[in-house]
Amino acid sequence: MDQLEHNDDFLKDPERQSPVAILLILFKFMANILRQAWPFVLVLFLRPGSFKGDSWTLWAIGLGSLSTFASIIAYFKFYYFVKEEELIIEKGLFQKTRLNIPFDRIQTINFRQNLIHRFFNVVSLEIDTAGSKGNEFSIAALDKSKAETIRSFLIAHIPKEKIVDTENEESITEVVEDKKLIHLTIKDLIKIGVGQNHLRGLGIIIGAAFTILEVMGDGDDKGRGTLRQLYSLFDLGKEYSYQQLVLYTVPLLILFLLVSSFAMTILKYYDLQFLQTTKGFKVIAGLFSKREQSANMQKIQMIRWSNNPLKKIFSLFDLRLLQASSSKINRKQAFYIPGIYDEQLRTVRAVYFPNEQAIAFETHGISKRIIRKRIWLYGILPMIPGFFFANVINQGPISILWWLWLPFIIWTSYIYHRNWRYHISEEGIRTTKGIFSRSHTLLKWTKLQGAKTQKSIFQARRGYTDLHFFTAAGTIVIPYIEEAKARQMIDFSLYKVESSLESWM
Amino acid sequence: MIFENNQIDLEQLPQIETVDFHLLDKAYLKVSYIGNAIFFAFLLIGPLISIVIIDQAAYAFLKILLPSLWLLLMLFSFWITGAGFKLKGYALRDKDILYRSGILFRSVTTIPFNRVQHCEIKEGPIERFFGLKTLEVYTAGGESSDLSIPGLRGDTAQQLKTFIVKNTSDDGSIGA
Repeated sequence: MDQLEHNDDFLKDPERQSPVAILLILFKFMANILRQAWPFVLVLFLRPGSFKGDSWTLWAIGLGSLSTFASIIAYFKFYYFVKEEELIIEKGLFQKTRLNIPFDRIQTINFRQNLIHRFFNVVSLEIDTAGSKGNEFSIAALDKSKAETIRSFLIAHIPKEKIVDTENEESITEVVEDKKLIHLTIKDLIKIGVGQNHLRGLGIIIGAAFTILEVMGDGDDKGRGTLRQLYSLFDLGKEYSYQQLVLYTVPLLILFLLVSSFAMTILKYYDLQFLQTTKGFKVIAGLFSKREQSANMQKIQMIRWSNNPLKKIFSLFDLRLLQASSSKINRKQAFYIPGIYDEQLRTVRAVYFPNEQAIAFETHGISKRIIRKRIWLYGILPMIPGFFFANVINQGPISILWWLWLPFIIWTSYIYHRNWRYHISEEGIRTTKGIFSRSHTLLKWTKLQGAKTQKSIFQARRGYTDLHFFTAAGTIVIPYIEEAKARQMIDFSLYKVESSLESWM
Repeated sequence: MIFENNQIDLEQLPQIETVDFHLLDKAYLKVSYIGNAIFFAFLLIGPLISIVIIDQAAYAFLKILLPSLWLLLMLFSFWITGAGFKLKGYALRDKDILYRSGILFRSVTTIPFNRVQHCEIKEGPIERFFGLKTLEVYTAGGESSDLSIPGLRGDTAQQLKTFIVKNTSDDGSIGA
């Protein structure tokens, strides 16, 4: 590392990625095309007659060769090099793009490997930067040793003031071993698989199924025919009535969803290890493509943990360490642990917020008016179109959903209000919310970037407001609280931020 | 630094409620009106085309519906602009900057100087004609917490920027 630090010529000349990148880019192209064109593919499977064979092959060959050509060009047009404390990436097929990444903006450097990467022993290098106008950068394929050299070069060149540890402590960092917080066993994994939130997907599928069946049930033999055709794949020659089709389709979809969601969990989190390092945390997991992700302590802005009724049975939580990041997408792909127990959760909380257990938190709820707002906004407003289509209300499976909607919203709105709590203290805030599941977010005042009160005209009339706390890893919104309270909280939290020299990162 | 942990009297803290907001420059109201007018002039194309091309009696109601919709939207937009202008304002304190805006949703955003990443001064073509500028204040909190204060006289914008940048660097965070 010492050599690198003084090597001014490192990466001075533009370099290309590993040629494996061609394959990866092609793969990405193909995946994209498939994603766009899946309805056509589906039609092709269900109705093989709808495309003339010749034109179909022509299309496939055309698209295939075009993508290959584009991938090769993309590879040859992609360069990266270092110039004046910046990593520069040049790329672009038609429009040339040049990305400058100043070293002092670099937040994390991650490696990723999928199956193709592993086969060729290359990695994709991903660099995340901070700042509102930043981007995240990635190099699709690099030889592993090359990637490691670049990483250590970059780390050595990130300005020192950003690293809180002194030189001495840093050298210790290399030696001390990571402390294993949890290593998921197969048993844990099964519990997590069962406890993952299938409901969200399930609701969507059931809704979609009702709509499809409604359309197909309209006496349209063609539509029903398609569904029958689908079934004839499994059970040749049988004839079903409309009701039977519904009866078979819904449980089948549910089963399919449960199994696939379960399998995804196992694949993604197989052999998960959650480690505490001297700098923060690290997670390694995956069956086919192993992912390694690390979270630097200074970068963690908030932590969020939650459980749902199923996970509660197993006393499991999932955990997110929300890190400073430039893009919204990256925020969603936060450092995520699908299952830990209270013991490990306490460790993580204590690392982020050492005083949390020691200081007093004051608990508050939100205004009851939120119930009314939710009933209007989510209950009554979406029902209005139904009045204009009387047949929707009167018959068919959708009408059941339509009539059940309002009672459902009223019920959940009451629970929503009952469960919303915020706990404030001198050093930070914790929020608790959720209808069926319970989600907790912990934030230290020093991580705050700004605050906002926002009130609609209805809220303003009654002296209520929504309160937003901005951080570099997302926003906490406390809805419908008294304006005086909101102001007091802003005054206090700003005082904390402005009087403290502690950096947010 | 000596460790201090005095009790904090909440009443003694600086309160955002007592802040006086500076309104935006009056010329900005004109800028907004002109911007609105241009937008709705473009939007007029739709109703106009409908009047010219619709010849079926069954769709004749569109000839009235679309233009009146356009008119309603335009009136609403102009009203919002006019009423909203009086509510827009900014305030500087020793340690932070506040921006107030919105008529249907009234908001006050506060950004401490020691969280500002950088500042930018921008001007659009209409703003330039009136000698106005927009000050953009960026934080690490992303779009939701970035401030954009329009309708500032050129020298005011520059003064604000200088003040913020000075305070940002005084507090030891990343300067602009």
